[in-house]
Amino acid sequence: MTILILGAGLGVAEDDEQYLHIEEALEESPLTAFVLAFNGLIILTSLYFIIKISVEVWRNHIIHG
Amino acid sequence: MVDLTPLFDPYVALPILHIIGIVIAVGAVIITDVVNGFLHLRPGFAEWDAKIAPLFSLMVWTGFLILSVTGTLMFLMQPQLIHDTLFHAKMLFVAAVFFNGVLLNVWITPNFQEISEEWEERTERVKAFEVIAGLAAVVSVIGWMTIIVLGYLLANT
Repeated sequence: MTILILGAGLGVAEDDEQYLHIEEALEESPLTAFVLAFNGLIILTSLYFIIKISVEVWRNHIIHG
Repeated sequence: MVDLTPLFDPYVALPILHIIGIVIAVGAVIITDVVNGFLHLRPGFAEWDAKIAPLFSLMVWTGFLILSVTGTLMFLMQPQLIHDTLFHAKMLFVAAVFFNGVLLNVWITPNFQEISEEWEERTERVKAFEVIAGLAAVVSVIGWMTIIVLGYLLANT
């Protein structure tokens, strides 16, 4: 799993040419920005629910054992 | 000796991580529906189900997080996808499943925990809740399965 994450992160960071493609896509279609923003919303919402549910589960574990 | 160097290629690593995210999220969705279906047949399990339901929700959101991070990175590597109708359809289903998931966590799960004690009595409140929760479950399963099919077609056509 660690190798996969490292591979994904390093590979994306090293690929300089992709930024040109993204700029082009952003210029070509406003949907590109929308998709990126929507994915950002999903990431933030997922993080919010992961933290919220973890806290609730942990609190119930402490209270009810 | 097994050659692991392809795993450092993002075009290999990201789809694998994306599939792991699907397995976690869809696995939790299916097990939730199976347990809830079992609950319809054996109402006595309602309180037990209400206690473990948050763990399945946690799995779904963890899967969603992995999917959205890897999905964003894959989209950044292939932004030409924005012109693909299949990609548009997939994102529509992702939106449906996402908002359905928010509804499940904001309204359905808290209400289920509240009415689980009266589940065996089969009150009107329980019956109405079961219909809404059932609809959300159907949207969830059909949505996720369609996303898998569209994702496969996107990767292979």
